[in-house]
Formats: sequence, C-alpha cells, structure tokens
Amino acid sequence: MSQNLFEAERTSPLRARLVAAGLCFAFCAVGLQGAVVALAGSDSATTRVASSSRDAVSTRRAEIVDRNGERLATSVSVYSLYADPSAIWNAHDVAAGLVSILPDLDYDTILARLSDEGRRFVWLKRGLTPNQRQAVFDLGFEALGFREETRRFYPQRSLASHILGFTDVDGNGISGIEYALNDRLTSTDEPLQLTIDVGIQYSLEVELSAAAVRTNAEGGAGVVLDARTGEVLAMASWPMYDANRPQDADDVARFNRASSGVYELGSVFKPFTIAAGIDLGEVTLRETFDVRNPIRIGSDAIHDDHPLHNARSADLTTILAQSSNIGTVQVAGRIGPERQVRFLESLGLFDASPVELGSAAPLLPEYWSEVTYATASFGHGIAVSPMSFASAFATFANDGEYLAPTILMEGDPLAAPREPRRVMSAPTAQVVVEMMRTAVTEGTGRNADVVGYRVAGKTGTAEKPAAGGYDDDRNVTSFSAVFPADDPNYVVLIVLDEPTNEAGQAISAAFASAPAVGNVIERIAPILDVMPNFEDIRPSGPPVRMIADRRSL
Amino acid sequence: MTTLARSDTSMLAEWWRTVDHGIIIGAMVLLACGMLLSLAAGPTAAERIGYNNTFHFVFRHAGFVVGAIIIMLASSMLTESWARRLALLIFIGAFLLMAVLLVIGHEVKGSQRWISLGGFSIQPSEFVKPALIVLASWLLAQRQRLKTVPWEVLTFFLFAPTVGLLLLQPDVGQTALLTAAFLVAFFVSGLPLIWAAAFGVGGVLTGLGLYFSFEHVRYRIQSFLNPNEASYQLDQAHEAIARGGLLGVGPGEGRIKEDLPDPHTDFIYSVAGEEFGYIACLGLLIIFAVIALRGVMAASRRADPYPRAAGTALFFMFGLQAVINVGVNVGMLPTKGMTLPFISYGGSSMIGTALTLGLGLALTRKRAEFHPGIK
Repeated sequence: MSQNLFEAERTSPLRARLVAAGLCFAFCAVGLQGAVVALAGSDSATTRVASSSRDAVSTRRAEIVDRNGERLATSVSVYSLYADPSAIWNAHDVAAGLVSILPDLDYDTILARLSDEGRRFVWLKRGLTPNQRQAVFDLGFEALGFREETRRFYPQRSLASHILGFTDVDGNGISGIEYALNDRLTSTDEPLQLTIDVGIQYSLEVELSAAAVRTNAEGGAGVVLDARTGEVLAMASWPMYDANRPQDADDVARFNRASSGVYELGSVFKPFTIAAGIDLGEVTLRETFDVRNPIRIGSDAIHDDHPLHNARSADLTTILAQSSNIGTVQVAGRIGPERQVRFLESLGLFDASPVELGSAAPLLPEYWSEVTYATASFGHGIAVSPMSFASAFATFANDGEYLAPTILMEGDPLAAPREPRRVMSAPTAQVVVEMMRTAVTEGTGRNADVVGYRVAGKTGTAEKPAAGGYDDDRNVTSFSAVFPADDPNYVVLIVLDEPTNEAGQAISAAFASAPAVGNVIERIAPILDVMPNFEDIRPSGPPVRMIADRRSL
Repeated sequence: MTTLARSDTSMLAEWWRTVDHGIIIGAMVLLACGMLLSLAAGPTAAERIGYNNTFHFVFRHAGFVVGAIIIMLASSMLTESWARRLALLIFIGAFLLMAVLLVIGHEVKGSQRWISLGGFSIQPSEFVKPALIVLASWLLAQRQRLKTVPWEVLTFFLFAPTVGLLLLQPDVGQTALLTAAFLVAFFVSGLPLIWAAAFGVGGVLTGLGLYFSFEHVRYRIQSFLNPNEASYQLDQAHEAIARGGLLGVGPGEGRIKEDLPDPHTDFIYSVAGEEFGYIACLGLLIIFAVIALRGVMAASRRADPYPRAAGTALFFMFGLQAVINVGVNVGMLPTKGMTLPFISYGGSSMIGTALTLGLGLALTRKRAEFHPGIK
C-alpha cells in the first residue's frame, strides 16, 4: 500500500507536466485560430466603419452598354460624409471648414446637425468626389468620417435616359431598365448589353426633339425597331431629362411615353385592316369601293376629312394612300367583328408590350359595339403604347410574322426566345408595304420620303379624346414607316402629342410626324448599312427632298 | 531543511530570492497592457452606460491594478501553511457570501453573481476559486499522513456545494473552469486513473444536464453551433479581429467597442485585435502562456504534493481562463461571460486573479526539500 502510494507520488511530476502540455496545446490552438481569424480578411477592411447596422453595404451595379459595347450606365465610387457630433470640440470650426470645401452646404443647417450632441451619427452630405473627400480629410477633424458608396453615372447624360431609368440614393433601380432588371444588375458584374444603338438613339432623339419643338408639342415618342429580329434599336420620349439628375426633372419629363404612354393613334391602324381583308380573301387589289358618302352606324356617321380624287371607285391602294375612313370601314365590314378583333389581338395590340423594361397595357373599349368595330378599323377607340404599335407594325416588314420586341441581345439569359408568329401571309405583307410606299410617294406621307431609301409608311392623325367625344383642336399625330420598301427591314415610328402650327392650330401627321420620320431615316439608314437606290427617281415626279439639300446648309 | 545561508536574511530579501521573477514581470506587463486597453474600451463603455465621467472605467481600472499588485505581491510572501489558512478564511467568507447572494444579490444579465458593497459590486465566486483549489490540494495531500481518513470524499464535499452555489447563480463558465482546475488538482495529487474516468463521465453527464436545464446555456450553445442565428456578439468579435489583421487599425480607431455591450470586459481581446492587430494579441497570449506554463512547471518540481497540486491547478486555472476568453473571442467556444485575467475591467476578477497568482507564487517558491524523484 505504502509502496503503491509512493509509486503514485513518483508519477506526479509527470502528471503536472502533462497538465502543462495540455495547457500549451490549448494556447497553441487559440493562437492559431486567432491567426486564422485575423488573416481571413475583413469584408470591409478599407473603410473606417464597417460593422454596425448603419453601414449596410451599398450595392454595386453592373454596367449597361449598348449593342456595340458603348457604355450607357456605370457605377462610380463616391463618398458620403458623416459626423459624430459627440466627438466635436467646436462645431463652428467644423461647419465653417466644410462649407469652404462644399459650398452648396448651408452653414446653419450643418451647424445645427453638428451641435446635436445627443447623437453619435449624422449624415452631412452624400456623393463626395475623391478630391472633395481628400479636402475634407485634410481639415483634420476627427469627428468626420466617410462611407464609400457607389453611385450610378450615365456618361451619355440624357441619351436613352427613359430606357435606362435611374436609381435612388441607395442604388436601387426605381425606373426603366434599372428598375425592371434590378435583380439582374445587382446579382452579377457582367455588363448588361442592350439592343440600343447609341447612334440611332441619338438620331431619333435629335429629330424627335426638333419636331416636338417645331410643332410646339406637349410630348412625343419615337421607336426604331429591327423588324427581322424584334430588337429595339432606339426608343425615345420627349421632353427629355438627364439621367444623372432625375430629381431636377418633373414627372412629365421622366415619363417614358414610348412604352408607358398609350394613345389612340388613328389611321396608322388602317394597314392592319387592309391587310386582314386581303389576307382573309375578303377584298382584292383590283376591287374598287364607292367612298363618296358617309357611312351611318346607328346615330353615328363616319366621314372622310377630305374627299378622295376618285371617290366613286377607289381601290385599296387609294384608300390607304389617301387615308379614307369610309373605305376602311367597308373593308372591316367584310372581315366581320370577330375576325377583326382576333387579327388585332394576334398583333399583340391587346396586351402590354412584352418589351423587358415594362410597358403600359392598352386601353380597349369597355364593350365592343358596331361603332367600336368600325372606329377600331381606323385606329380610334383603342389606345396602345407606341412600343406595342411599332412591333405590330413591324410584322409588315417581317414577311407577315410577328416578333415580340426585345431590348436584350440574343443569348442574354433573361431574353425570351425569339419565336416568330405568323399573322398574315408574306405576299399580303409585301402588298401592304407597296401600298404604303404609294402613300409616301403619292399620298399623305410625302413629307416622309427620303430620296434613295424607299420609305413606306402611313400617317395617323387622331383627335384627342375629350369629354363626350373628340376634340378637333388637339391631335395626336403619328407616322409609322418601314424601309427600304423593296426589302423592308426597319420600322421607325414617331408620335407627337398636340402638335400645332405657328398660329396654334392643330396640325396633321403629314406635317408634324412624317417629316420627322423622314429625317430619322435619312440619319440612320447609313448607320444601318442600307444602300441608297436612286434608279427609280422620276424626274417628273413629286418633289422629294435631296440629301444634298440639307448637307449644303 | 536548511536554506543556504545568505548574507541578507530579511523577509523581503528572502522572498525576492525565492520567488519566480518571470511570472511577476509577466503579470506586471499584463496589468500594464490591461491599463492601455482600458483607455481604448473604457471611455466608450462609460459613454454607452451613461456615466458622466468619460474615464469612469479607466480610473477604477487603475485602482484595481494597484490593488491587484499589492494583493499579488503580499500573498506571494505567505508560507505554505499561511497560504492554506488564508485560503480557508477566504473560502468561508466567499462561500457564505455566495449563499447570501442567492437571496439578496442583484441580477446582471440573467445571473445573480454580484453583491453590492459600498459602491462596489463584489463577485465572490472570483475569490472562491483559488481558495477552494488550495484547500482541496491540501486535503488531498493529507492522504499520505492519515491514510484512514477518506480525504478524497472530504474534498468532494468541499467541492460539490461550491459548484452547486455557482450553478444556482447560474454561472456555468465559472463552474466549468473551477471543475477543470479541481480535476487538475486531483490528477496531480496522484488520483487513480479510475477516478479520473469517473469524473470524466460525471462531467459529461453534468454538462448534458446543464444544457437541458438552463435556458441561457442552451441558447448560447445553440447560437454557437448555428452561426447563422443570433450570434451577433461573436460575429462582431470575428469581424473586428479580421479588420485588425496583423497590425491593427490603430489605437482609438477600432469600432467594435461601440457595437458590443461588454467591450471592456468579455470582449477586450477583440478590441485589442482590432486596434493593435494579431501580432500584439499573439504577444499577449504568449505572456499568458509563459506565466501559466512557468507556474505549472515550477509547481511540478515541488516534491510536497500539497504545493505541487495547488500550484499546478492555480496556474492551470489562470491559463485556462485566458484560453477560454480568447477562444470565445476567436469563435472557438460559445460565449461564457468570462474575463481575460488582468486585462479585462473588473475588480473582483482582477483581485481574484491576483490572489490566484499570489498563492501560486507563494506555493512554488524555491525551497530545499527532499525530492524522491530526483536521484
């Protein structure tokens, strides 16, 4: 027993050393773990403050580029200035120093904020540039700090601003593509490529603005589509705003009329009615119609604004070129209400446009009567967005197949597959394009012609709806064109809201929208590699504008 | 039985010749670091709590440091038998206080650990730890003299009610620490391994019992095991240490002290890690390790089982407390509510640690003695 105890005691120094070894191991373990944590790196090692709840990391957004990689929207680092009032010795000194560097700060406001010693954190100014930050830093006030933020910058300023939209101060998209694709833009750094072409967008915006200013319009919208792919090459709304300063613009300027506005567009709908009639075999090209007398439907009568030259026997081309309501209603009558509505629906005109930045739903008649069927045949009683209309109209230039419009390049994961839907036969589409070419060479669309580029199109002058009917003092004028007519590829649409002449009288599409569309085509056809063709210019024909006329100015 | 005859045989000279200088210097360095860090975390904590005096905690900390130095040095001068007698006194006092505490103690953050005494809050459990270790080691050492008395059982009767009182507060962290140190004392005293196994099983069962009977233990352990859920403090500590990196963000530039409720106590390591960086923290850790290991090794050289077991357990307890605190800060262990010895703010903790090291120093002073192990 004694021996055993002695043995046990002999082992004790060893036991104490075992304890030392265990302790040593424990110290090494926490020391190593400490190194792992310390060297793991911090999410926000660069900024002075990073941990607490007030420092939610602002989102870094992907760039937006046009179809050629031109930068439309990007994110830049800016610095937001804050202060800890409890760490300030002399608020007057700090306020004076800040105002000397940032003159747009108000001394008294800043002083009041800095003097609020009950608080540990007050914002002073957001969006300092690196130079301003350095200058404030050099003031040497300990109580001032910066938080790095990213701010959206639009290098093209007002260009495509309605498409791009803008973000709020926290970097969340609140309008346009920035809003519609906010998740996409915040989830990856990969630039988002749009189908927009900066050159075409610029051309459209310049001409839309010029037309709107010239006609003293309330507003305007323009769309350029590639009819073969459904791609939106340009989309504009007037008045415009600078996407870098959305707060300086009012809602009227920020409103995207091209996709979010809906208008009764009027006679630009006539080609649809004519196409339906031809495609369904209800009317033929040789057939003539007597369009001398108004058509009575119940208590309403449908007139033509101006009598046609050969009103007794007008063929379809004449009806379209001279824009006869009476003739169009007769064609609609042959088609019948059901097929007429189905035809318009198949062109996507009864739904909001599927374009990715969002679009307004059309305003349709509350109930369809004999009169609404008749007026819908020439574009009244149904209000659609210019975007919706342009993609429906593009069907003529795509051999009768409807393509949903898209603003995302092919192959983008978010882009819907491009599946054309046949709405009319290819010959029907070609025939209607030819008719619209006549409307430009001989009819209401003459002001849209550009020598060499074979513009085909249709005017639309709609009186604006007013209480109890329509107001003949206020028009919405549109001109929708496809070109080149012999191998149509592109659609250009310009809509003007309440254009007037110098005397303040409402003017029609032929004088308001048609010349603007001609100007746009003249600018963009070379960009789009459309070769001019001068062979069919008839010396005795109606005068058309020569490109050289303008170039020499 | 004879000490070497030296010219100066006064008590102070005698003490200085025999005491471990390395441990004293290490302790002084730790106290100085604690003072420095209290300047970092103290004012923020004072402001958070709402004291008018920004340096409330700094001044008090300085007072505690002075008290700790005096108590550590004074207790290190005790002889082995006086160390035991002092331990008995402290144990009885602290034990009674802990018992009273259950009735009159005021609750801080879900536990009744504190007793108010003339403007100071005293946490008697900090004092009961070193006292119990010394007493238990002495009792266990008596096995060699009187083999008829079941000393192990007696020791256990000392240990069980103390742990019971700790658990009733409840203070699971201190319970774990005290139990570990107690086991070390038992182990070094020559405890048969079968006892160790029995204690091991008992410990696991107790742990499970604790887990299921105390809400806040369960919560803390669960929040530790599932880092996604409410582990705000641990996330903050982790982030702060990461932000500090190797060299730190600089004195006064740290931010964790503004975001955590106890920057000056339980999370002082994270404050240090953020402001001074990992290299400084590693230095701190090395000082802890040197003190603890030097103490344990010095104790291991003692032939007398009483000072050997007591010294080993005391220095072990000191080292383990540091390891646990740092382990919590670096995310290896669930939050325990345990201070970093000599660094964290807190009078009871500081004085308790001073007592731990002082008694440990007293028991490991160099003496001439018969060494059965040395030939």
